[in-house]
Amino acid sequence: MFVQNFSYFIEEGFRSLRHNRFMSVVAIVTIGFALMIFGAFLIVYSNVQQITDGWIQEVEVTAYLRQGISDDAADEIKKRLWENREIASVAYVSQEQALQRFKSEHADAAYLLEGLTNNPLPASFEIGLSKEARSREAVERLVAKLGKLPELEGVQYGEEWTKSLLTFLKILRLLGFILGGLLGVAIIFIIANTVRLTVYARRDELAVMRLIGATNWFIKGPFLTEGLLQGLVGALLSLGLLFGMYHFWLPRLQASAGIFFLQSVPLSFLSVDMLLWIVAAGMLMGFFGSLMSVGRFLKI
Amino acid sequence: MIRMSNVQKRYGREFRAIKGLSLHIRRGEFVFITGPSGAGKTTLLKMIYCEQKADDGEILVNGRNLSRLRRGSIPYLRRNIGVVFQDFKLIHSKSVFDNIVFALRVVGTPKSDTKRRAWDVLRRVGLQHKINSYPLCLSGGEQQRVAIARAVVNDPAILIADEPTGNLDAAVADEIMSLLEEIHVRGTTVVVATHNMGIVHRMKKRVIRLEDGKCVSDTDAPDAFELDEDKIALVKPSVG
Ligand SMILES: Nc1ncnc2c1ncn2[C@@H]1O[C@H](COP(=O)(O)OP(=O)(O)O)[C@@H](O)[C@H]1O
Ligand SMILES: [Mg+2]
Repeated sequence: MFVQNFSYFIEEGFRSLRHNRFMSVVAIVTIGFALMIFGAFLIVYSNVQQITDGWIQEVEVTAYLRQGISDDAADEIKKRLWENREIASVAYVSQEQALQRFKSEHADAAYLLEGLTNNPLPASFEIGLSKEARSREAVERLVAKLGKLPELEGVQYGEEWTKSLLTFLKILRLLGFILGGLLGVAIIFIIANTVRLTVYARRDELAVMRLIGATNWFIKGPFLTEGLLQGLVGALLSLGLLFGMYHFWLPRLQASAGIFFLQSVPLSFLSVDMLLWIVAAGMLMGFFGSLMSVGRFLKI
Repeated sequence: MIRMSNVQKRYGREFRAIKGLSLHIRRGEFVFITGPSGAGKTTLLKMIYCEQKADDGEILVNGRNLSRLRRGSIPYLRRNIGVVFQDFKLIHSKSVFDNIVFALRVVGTPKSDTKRRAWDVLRRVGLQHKINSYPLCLSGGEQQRVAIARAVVNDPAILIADEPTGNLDAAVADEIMSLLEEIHVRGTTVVVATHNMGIVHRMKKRVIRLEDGKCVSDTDAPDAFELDEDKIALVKPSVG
C-alpha cells in the first residue's frame, strides 16, 4: 500500500508543506539548528577521539612488581603475560637494572642514593602492545586486567594527560547521549506539532476519506511524508550550517591568536557515515513525530 | 443485504438511541427510514457503515457480521457502501472533477481509469458542464449531485442517504429523489432516511418508521397492494 501510493504521498506531502508554509519553515529551521548543535558536538567528539587514538599508538605500558618477588617468580609472571594476545613484547627490568638505569640517567644526582642500604626502586615489566591492541578500548581493557594481578603493584601507561583525555572522552560520550536525547525529543515534538496543525486544517477531508473507504495507511501517508520531508530538509540544513561553520568560521578562529591548541592539531569534518546518520536520524524523527499526531487523530 | 436483529445502541451510560431493533433489507430494495427528529435514523445508518458500533445484537451487511469485523477491514466494507449526507461533505479545495477522481484514487483505482470513470459518472448525474467548478460555486442541488456521483462512482452494492434533501427546496428534492431511483433501477440497494413525508408518499416505496429508537411500522411499497391482491396477506405492519 505504501509503495503503491508513493507518488501520491510525496505529492500530498509537498502540498502540505506549501500550504502550511510558515509553520513548516519554522519547524525546518528549528530542526536544522537542533541537529547542527548535535553535529557540532559530534565533530568535537570525533576529533578528540582521533587525537587520543593517535596517542594511543605510541603508548607503552609499565607494570611495577611488588617488593620481594623473586626473579624466578617474575619469570613465571612474564610467561603468563606473554599469553595475552594484546601483548607483543615483555621486557623484565629487575630492581638492580632499574637502579643502574637511574644512575646513568641521573649521574649528577647520584648522591641521592648514597645513604640507602637497600634498593628503593621496584622491578617492572615494560610491555609493548601488539597491533590489534592499539586502540583506546584494548588498552583500557588490558590495563584493567593487569590491575587485577596480585603480584603487580601498579600499572602506568602513556602520559597523564592521555588518561585525562580518556576520562574527558567518557564524559563527552555521556553528554552526547543526554544532548542527543533532549534534542531528539524536541525535534519529534516540533514535527508532531506542525503535523497536528495540518491534520487539523484538513480534518474535513480526512473524514471524507474515511467515509469513502480509505485505509488508515492511505490517510496517514501524506502526513508521514510531510514529517519525513521536514526531518530530511532540516537535517540537510544542519549539514549545510555545519559545513559553513567548519570551513569559514573555524579557520578564522584558528587564525586569531588566542587559540593555540586548535592550531597545533589537525582537525577533520564529520565522516560520510556520520553525515548519513544525521540525515537518517532527521527523517526517522520526522516519521515518528507525525505518526504520533496522526495516530492520535485517527482513532475511530 | 442488511439484516439487524435486536440491535441496541447507547450513547453514554444511560441514553439508549436504538432499543432492540430488528429489520431485514433485501438486495435491490429501495427503503425509506422515517420518523421524527431524534428517533434514531442517523444512528441506524451510521451502524450500517460502521461509523458507530452496536452495543448489542447482530448486524449483517453484505454477508458480513459487523460485530466480528476487524478495524482494518472497515475501509473495505465501506467501499461497498456509498453514503450521501444532508450537508454534502464535498472537499472544497478540489474541483468537482477532482472530488470524484479522489474517491477513485482512495480505493486504488488505476490512474488510467480514473478520468474516464469520473467523466461517466458526472454525465450520469447531469453535471458534465460543471466538472471544473468548485463545490462552493454550485447550487445545493448540484452539490448533492456531485456527492451522489462520488458515492456511486465505485459501484457500491448499497447506497445510504441521510436526509439527502434536507437542505434543498421541493422541486430540487424531487430531482434528487429521481436520481436515487435511477441508481436503484440499475440494481443498487438504496436506503434513505428522511422526515420529509411528502417525498415518502410520492415515491411509493417500503417505509420503515422509527420512533424513540424502536421500529413502529414497516410498510411495503403501496404498489404491492394494487398489483397483486395475494400480497396483502404478506404485508404485516409489525409493531415494536
Ligand atoms: N454522538 C452522539 N452522542 C450522544 N447522543 C447522540 C449522538 N448522536 C445522536 N445522539 C442522540 O441519539 C438520538 C438519536 O439521534 P439520531 O440518530 O441523530 O436521530 P435522527 O437522525 O432520527 O434525528 C437523539 O436523541 C440524539 O440526541
Ligand atoms: Mg438524523
